[in-house]
Amino acid sequence: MGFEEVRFEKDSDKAIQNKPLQKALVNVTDRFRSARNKASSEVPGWEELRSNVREIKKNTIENLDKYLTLLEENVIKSGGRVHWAKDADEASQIIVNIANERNVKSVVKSKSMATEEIDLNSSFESAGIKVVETDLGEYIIQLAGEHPSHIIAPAIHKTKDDISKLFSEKLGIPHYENPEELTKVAREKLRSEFLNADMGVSGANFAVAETGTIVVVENEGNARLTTTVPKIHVALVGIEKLIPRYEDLSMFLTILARSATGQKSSTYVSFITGPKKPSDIEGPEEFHLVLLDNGRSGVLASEETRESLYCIRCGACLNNCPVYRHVGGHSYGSVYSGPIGAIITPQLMGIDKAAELPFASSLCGACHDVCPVKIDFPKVLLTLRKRIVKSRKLSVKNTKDIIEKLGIKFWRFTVLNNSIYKITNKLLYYLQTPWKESNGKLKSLPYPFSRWTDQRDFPSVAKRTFRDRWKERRGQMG
Amino acid sequence: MNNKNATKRPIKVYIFITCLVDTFFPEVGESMLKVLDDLGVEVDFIEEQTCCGQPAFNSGYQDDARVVAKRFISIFEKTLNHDSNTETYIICPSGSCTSMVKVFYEDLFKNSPEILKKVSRIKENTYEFSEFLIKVLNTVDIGAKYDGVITYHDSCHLLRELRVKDAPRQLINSVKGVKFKEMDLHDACCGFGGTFSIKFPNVSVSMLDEKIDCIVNSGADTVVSADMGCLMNIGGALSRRNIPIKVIHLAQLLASRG
Amino acid sequence: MSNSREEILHTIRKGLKGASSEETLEERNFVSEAQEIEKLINELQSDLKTQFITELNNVNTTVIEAKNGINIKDSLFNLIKEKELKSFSIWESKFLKELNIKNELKDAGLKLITAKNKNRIATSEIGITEVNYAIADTGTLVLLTNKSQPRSVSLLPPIHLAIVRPENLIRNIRDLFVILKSKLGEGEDITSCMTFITGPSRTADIELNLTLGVHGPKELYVII
Repeated sequence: MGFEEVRFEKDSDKAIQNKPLQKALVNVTDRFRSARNKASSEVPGWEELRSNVREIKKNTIENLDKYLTLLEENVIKSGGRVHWAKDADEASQIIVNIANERNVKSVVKSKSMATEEIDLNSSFESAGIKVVETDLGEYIIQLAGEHPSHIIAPAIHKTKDDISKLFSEKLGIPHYENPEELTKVAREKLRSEFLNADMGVSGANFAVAETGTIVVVENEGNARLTTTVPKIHVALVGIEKLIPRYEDLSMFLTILARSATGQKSSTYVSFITGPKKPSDIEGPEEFHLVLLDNGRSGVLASEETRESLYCIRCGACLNNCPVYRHVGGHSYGSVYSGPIGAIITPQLMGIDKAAELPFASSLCGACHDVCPVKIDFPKVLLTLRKRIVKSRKLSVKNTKDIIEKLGIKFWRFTVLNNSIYKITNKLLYYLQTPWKESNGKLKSLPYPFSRWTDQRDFPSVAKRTFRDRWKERRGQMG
Repeated sequence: MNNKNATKRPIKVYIFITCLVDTFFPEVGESMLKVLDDLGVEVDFIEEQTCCGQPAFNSGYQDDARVVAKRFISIFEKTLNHDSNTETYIICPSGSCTSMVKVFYEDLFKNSPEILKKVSRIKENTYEFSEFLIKVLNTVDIGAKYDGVITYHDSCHLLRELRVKDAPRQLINSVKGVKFKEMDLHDACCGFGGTFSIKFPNVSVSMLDEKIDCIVNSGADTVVSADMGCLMNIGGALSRRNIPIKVIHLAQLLASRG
Repeated sequence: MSNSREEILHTIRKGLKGASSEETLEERNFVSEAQEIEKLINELQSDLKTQFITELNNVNTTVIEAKNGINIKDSLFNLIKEKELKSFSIWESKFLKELNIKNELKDAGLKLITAKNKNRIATSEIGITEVNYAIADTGTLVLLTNKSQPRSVSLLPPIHLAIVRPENLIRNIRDLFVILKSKLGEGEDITSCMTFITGPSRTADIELNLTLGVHGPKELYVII
């Protein structure tokens, strides 16, 4: 899918009306949130751990050029090949070329946000190569022709019944009721895909510069199969996934699973260094690492928002975000949703194309509190808002923006002068009369305030403001 | 009741009244005055003050916010040059506006070292109302009386920017006649978020719906918070739906005498 | 291709101008750290075992305690009988060879399936491995791939049985990386694939219902 059109307001309205989705969102966010809270509270020095991993990420990003070349050197040393892709098209092209040159007919994929970002599946399909998603959630999504809605639980927007119908329709099997049976069907179908695939494509959670190792974290085992069974393994990795030292993994793995699902460790973690050794009996004969930029190197240029690249994709910010909880992943119009989507999508795809997203937050800060690398989301959001406002070109078509700007300028004019401020309050007091109900509430104000009063009462301006009352008090006190 | 301060220098408080309180909820400011009066604290209000700049800052208009914030700084800076015999504080009945001054001014003026110096002096002496009572005055019981079941909504900025969680609860629990009931998701945002509430009204109200459910399910007859932004949002929904739950600011609760 | 490489590195360097804090990979003496850890662990062995078992129980793993080699084989044969297994795959590691499990299972009529033929291990009913390390505080098995320890034995069969010896136990993941780094420092080659296994394969992708055995083994047995 990559980056689609962002239509946050429209899509979120739809999501809010979707009752089963609302129920699923409450379930998934409640479950992951309480699991994360429990798991993090059990680790002594959790806060220190967060500071440490943040520090490592900061150092890595600030030395990214050096570590990338070190990583390259070590991947080559271990017998792998390294490819650099500056954008989505180039990355897809590199991977499809690898496949074509080796006469690959079918590809298995394990879950990877980066491959979603570059929309790799469509590139394979247009090249006539069969590609199968193997993570159960992703498989469901692929069968349905949809997009993932959560970083770690991609199919969470689908109910058991949806999946049952989908499987029976697409796989020609009877309606199975329980998840156990549905999972078994998927296991059998996908197992034969694995055994017949010519190439496996994975992402990576981390890439270790000093050893050339990529690390893949998962629960199902499909990533292990993807990186073990086919004779070619291609890993697509964003350049920000780097960490310098092998031992840094101990901290990152400690914090990742706990932040994501509340597990002490994910079921499987694979540490892959190059292709199989000549002495190994099995394993892929070729290993290709494709380093993906796609806007990331540009993000570095701003010191204010650089920390967006520290993200380790645990999804904790989604699970703790009250906005995500009510609108779900699809409203963000991009592979990355929730708070991380709100900050990373505009930076990767351009703020003009995702200008709604940084505003789609109440700045409540819950994401900042749980982020394992302590990304200061409110601050980054505020910086992006600033950039968006500055870059706005006001024209008759954007009446909303014009009204907003006039509003702010009017506000500025009034609050910069105490007398004008007082007069304005008096004026407002009289102006509100037509809308004022007997209980003192305003129930149907004109646009843009109607966006408040359509569903909520608005308080009325007091006849005697605080400063009026203060004056009286001073008068009384002499 | 504030005998701990007896040996200390006298305290003088400059109140920082937010535009919401000034314009829509003056009774909240008066309640804060009453509490401070009853504690024997000297209070002053500088009439030139208007707004801290947060509405523009949060909407992305940082240049406009900076101009307004500068004005705020120049007004409140003066309060700190008082004679050294008194301890001077700036007290605000809002976690949000307080965090604008204490947290976000630094960001807003990060390229102006001169102003930053002023900000750090102001910041040090600025407190949100409940934190001031507990931390500076060491006061829990102010002799308030209120007959009712109360639940408390954590405002996002007070909780997560200023890290004030216990102070309001301690104060609520000290009020005679009060039965305190914690609601589910007490620390979840109510959906206000300033202009967010009118930019994305349906998302905002969807968040608010869940908050209202939590408040109703707590069995409380009164909901208290330390920010009028949240309370305007919560109160706006309660009154629209004719739900008879009272909405009051912490200062109003502490000023009530039965 | 090399063009993109230069372009990306150039953009990064330009973006980082003035920010790049000089950092080199510092030298740490992992060899002596590892020696100290090993000493500590020796003293803690029985505590670690208790903790390890608790954690395994938390992740749907069946734990069998065995006093000696004979015990291990008894437990294994019981399992095979109970599950009516007819085929197996096994690592050719030193300890497993010493136990002579492979030959005894063959003698008992089970079919040995090796990794030499591609994908055949998928037809095997149980994969038997030992572990290189066992992390006590998370219940994690650490398996290193090499010529006698192919990866798919713990992956393709529906049942995985791993044998853990007390000397494999370490406290936590920190210990592991100190030990691994000390070995790398001593010139040992890094494995093409190290695998952490914590419990059987699982998914919660359908309405968050926990389901085991989605891709990897559905059942995990650990004999200590």
